[in-house]
Amino acid sequence: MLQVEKVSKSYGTNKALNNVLLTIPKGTCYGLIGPNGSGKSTLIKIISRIIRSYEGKIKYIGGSKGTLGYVPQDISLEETLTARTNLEFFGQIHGLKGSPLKKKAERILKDIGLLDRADDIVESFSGGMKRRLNIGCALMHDPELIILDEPTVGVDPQSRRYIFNIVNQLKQQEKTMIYVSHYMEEIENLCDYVAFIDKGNIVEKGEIKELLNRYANTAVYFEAEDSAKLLSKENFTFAPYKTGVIIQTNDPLKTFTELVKLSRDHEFIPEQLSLFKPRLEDLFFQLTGTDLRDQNEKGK
Amino acid sequence: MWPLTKIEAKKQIKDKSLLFWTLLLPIVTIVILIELFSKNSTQKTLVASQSITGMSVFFSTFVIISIVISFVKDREKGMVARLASTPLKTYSFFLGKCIPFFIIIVLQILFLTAIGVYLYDIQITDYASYLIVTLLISIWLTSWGVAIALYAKTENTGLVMTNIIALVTAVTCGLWTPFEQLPGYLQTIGFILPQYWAHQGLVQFVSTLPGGEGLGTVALVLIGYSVLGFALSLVGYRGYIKMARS
Ligand SMILES: Nc1ncnc2c1ncn2[C@@H]1O[C@H](COP(=O)(O)OP(=O)(O)OP(=O)(O)O)[C@@H](O)[C@H]1O
Ligand SMILES: [Mg+2]
Repeated sequence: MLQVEKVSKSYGTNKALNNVLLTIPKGTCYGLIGPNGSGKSTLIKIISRIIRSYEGKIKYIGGSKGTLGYVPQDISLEETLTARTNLEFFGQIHGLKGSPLKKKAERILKDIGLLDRADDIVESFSGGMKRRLNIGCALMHDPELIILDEPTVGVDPQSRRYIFNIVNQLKQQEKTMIYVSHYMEEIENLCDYVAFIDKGNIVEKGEIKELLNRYANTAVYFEAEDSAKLLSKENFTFAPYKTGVIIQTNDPLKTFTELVKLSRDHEFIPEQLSLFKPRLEDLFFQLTGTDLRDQNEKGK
Repeated sequence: MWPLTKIEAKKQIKDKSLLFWTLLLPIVTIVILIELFSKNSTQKTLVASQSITGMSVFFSTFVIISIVISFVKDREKGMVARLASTPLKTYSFFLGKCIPFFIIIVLQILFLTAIGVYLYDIQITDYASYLIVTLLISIWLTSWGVAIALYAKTENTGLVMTNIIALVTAVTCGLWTPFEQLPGYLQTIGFILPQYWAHQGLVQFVSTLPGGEGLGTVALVLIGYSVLGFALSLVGYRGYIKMARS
């Protein structure tokens, strides 16, 4: 189990991370999501021992540090050399040599789908192929903890599939993973846990299933003409969401009844009245008031 | 450390510009100088002795460009950061990367000397001492290369610095023209620069060339300048690492 204990990091007056607390259980895939500049890379660079001056602690409970495979956000490869040379280099750094090294490189080349390009210069690769190799290099030594910083940025669907396959394979081997992404769907599909990070703060975290259930069961989505005005008159507590509002409630059926009654009293039929089943995306919006998608489009 | 040495060597061998600066250009320059300034074979040997020792020192300076480019690229492309997440020690990183450049300089000087010996009848009086001077030259230049690389903001810094060093030393240290023929004030400048000592260190073991400085003094000066390079590197490496990892 990996524990991030009250980790803070500042760049001058800019606080990149603020008192981050996370517990990453062994053998799980932990998603980390947040807008540009929220501190994701900073946090995982601290976990990967790249940034070594920070406040707080990184603890490994019930075991040693173990080996670590870090996949950087930027492609860091020797681009004037071949894919195989790159893989073997990272294997050698971790003490692999001889035929185990060759075999492992071959195995990884197969997994990342670059066997037929193994002896080509990396410069000649497409962006997606470089991304795959970037991941492969971090897996040469069979690490126990794998940290991936936005591994699917700017790749085509084919490369994306390869990357998902690799992650799923690692999950089957019960490796611990930290997966940073901008894409909620990826986190929802690949990860067991998620932490939302915004401006250096963890705003929510937990098991994805549990989080979705928790938030889904306690809200009702309501949409009608002037719904906000109407509801404030009737003393409802609500939050605007998309073109309607969400009403937090412990008893959704009761809220439904109240809203139906309200509609009847004011003689209109709501455009929409439904149990609010948020996706991670909505959850994030609810928690931070920022839409990740817009943010990222602006950021890029 | 050795994986790093290996991969750096592979990169450098692939890099055609290194081949151009370390072998092609010096050889062409030496041949041109010999053809221009000598009429008979005795003169040829004399000019060859001067130009081969001079060009050995002059062109080995250009390895600094390759060193700077390599270190700056590693920093900017995130390789230094990436390696920080591996068990590789910081000193292994630096040492591992330096070894290929050290070897390149040694091979370059020995190769140019071999040309002189086999094609132009240059006489080396003491091969072992000649090799010692060569090794010292290489240690000193590598240390300067790393020092410059660690402070360089961009690859261009390496280019500019190397050209300044090359130009100044070419004029003042007797690498292009025999030192005795230089005006006094240039000699004074040359006298304090390592290139003068490096050159004279080689010259002393070439019997076909007059002059030269004693091995002891040459070694002392070159070691001194190497220590300077290492000291600057030691001061600079923290900044380099910090910049690379954030
Ligand atoms: N070397 C640095 N010097 C100064 N500030 C930095 C440095 N690196 C990061 N920051 C700042 O720290 C904050 C967090 O940056 P970080 O790279 O961790 O964000 P991120 O969540 O990974 O963003 P992105 O989605 O764009 O990758 C940002 O405000 C950023 O400007
Ligand atoms: Mg990032």
